[in-house]
Amino acid sequence: MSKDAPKALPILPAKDGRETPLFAVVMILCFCACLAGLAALAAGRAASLWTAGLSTGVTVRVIEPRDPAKIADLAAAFGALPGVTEARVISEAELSELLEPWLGAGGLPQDAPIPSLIALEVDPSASPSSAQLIEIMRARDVRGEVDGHDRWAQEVLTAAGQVRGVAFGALGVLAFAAASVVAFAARAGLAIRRDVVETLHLIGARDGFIAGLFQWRYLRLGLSAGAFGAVLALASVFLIAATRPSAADRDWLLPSFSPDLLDIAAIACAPLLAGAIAMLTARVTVLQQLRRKL
Amino acid sequence: MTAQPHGIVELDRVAVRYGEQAVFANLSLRLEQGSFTILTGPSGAGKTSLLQLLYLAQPPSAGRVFVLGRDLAGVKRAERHKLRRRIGVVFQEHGLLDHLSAFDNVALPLRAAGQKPKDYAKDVLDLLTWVGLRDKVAALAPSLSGGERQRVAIARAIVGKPNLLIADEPTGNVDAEMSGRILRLFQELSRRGVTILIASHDVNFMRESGARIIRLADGALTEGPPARAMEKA
Ligand SMILES: Nc1ncnc2c1ncn2[C@@H]1O[C@H](COP(=O)(O)OP(=O)(O)O)[C@@H](O)[C@H]1O
Ligand SMILES: [Mg+2]
Repeated sequence: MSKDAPKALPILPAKDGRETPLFAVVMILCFCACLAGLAALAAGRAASLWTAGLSTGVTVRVIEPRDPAKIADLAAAFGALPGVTEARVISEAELSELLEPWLGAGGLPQDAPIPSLIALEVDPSASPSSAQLIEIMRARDVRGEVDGHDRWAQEVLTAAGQVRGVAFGALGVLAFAAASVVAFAARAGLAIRRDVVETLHLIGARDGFIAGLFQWRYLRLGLSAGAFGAVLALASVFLIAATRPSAADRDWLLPSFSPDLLDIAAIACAPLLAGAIAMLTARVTVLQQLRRKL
Repeated sequence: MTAQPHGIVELDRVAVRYGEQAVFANLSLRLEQGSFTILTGPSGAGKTSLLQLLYLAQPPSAGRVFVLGRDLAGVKRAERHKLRRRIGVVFQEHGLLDHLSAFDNVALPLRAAGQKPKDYAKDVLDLLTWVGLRDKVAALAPSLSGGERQRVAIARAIVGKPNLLIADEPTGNVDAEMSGRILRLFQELSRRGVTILIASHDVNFMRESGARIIRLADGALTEGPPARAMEKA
């Protein structure tokens, strides 16, 4: 290069004050989307906590008959049901142990009408209903009860599913709104650069060359504005987590707001998405503008 | 280059219409290789519109346009940039990019064609020297005077060594002395064999140019300037 030639400036100015609103819009939308995403993840986690462990065990209390062989038979029949992973008769020793805090050492009075218990381990998503279990007992002439927490377990499962659904639905809506606004803002940003498109077109630049200039620039703009928004969101959440009094005993109810790796990975997607949307919009918009020309 | 069947420029019964308004119709013109022509006529006659047909800024509403031997109707969209690179244009409004220096504005067509600074720096500097702007290479376009901007625009139009040079009112906003300097640049290019078509109603410019003069008025082209206009100057 000749020593007197000034350093070549970028064909599109590196910084354009008129793009500040676009930057701000992308940043704010990314911030909101990240918060919504974190909330959705936290709600999903809370819902998992509610349902974890609560519905995997079902207890069947057999009142009559007391014949161990018949009870073992019944347990085997339960065990064969789809959705039941294990059916186990609880031994008297175990029972005594379980009841010890209430009855004191020394165990059960010999003549106490202690029912026999069958503990079922079930797959919560495919568990047989209480009615099914009772039907099986009736068919065998067994009188007993099912410790039917499956009804409220089902309700909790439904509620947890709804919480998850609403959270991710809200996230989806927000992401869509964010994407539309980013695209809209990118179009507005490009409108002020029509002169560059026009001039380059007439001096013989290929459409791809012109679109390329804008596309990389908007990718960069989307990425950096998105990163700003994401970092801001993450910082806010860390702040909430840090200032909230330790609440380990309440974690099963309140969404846990201490971001983990999954959260950070999800948040990292937001700037990438913002960058990709801005880039695609820029490319499509410029190519459209050019296609209207000769 | 051998003589082309359609000259370097040929308009064959072309029309330009904007909506209901017919600017001109049934207009024919032929420019030979290496010719120097000035298109004159009152403001609003359609000079810019005619030039735009030739630098592929708009298609004719009717008729056929040949540029550099090619029927423009037959040039595919994906090929047009190649033709545009062989046509240098000085736009009526300069068309300089305000955020770029004189140097970068001149280099723009070469960058758009994929050249790297080390390949074009010397050519661009030589050209800026030739138009008398050696000490303005790093100046941003808005800081230049009207005459300086015109010369940057001319340098940009010829940096790609075009076969055809089109200039729309290149002396529109400059004083008589600058107008003379700009004319000498065009005359030098003409001597080097570039085909030149300039739209102008600068009477001194026309008279001193020694160029073929064609006049567009009321939708029709006539040869030679109106004697009255030349006398008045
Ligand atoms: N893009 C356009 N759309 C509508 N009308 C136009 C357009 N360009 C030019 N015109 C009209 O066409 C006529 C010729 O304009 P123009 O070619 O610029 O003439 P000149 O360059 O001779 O002054 C004018 O009446 C002008 O208003
Ligand atoms: Mg004009």
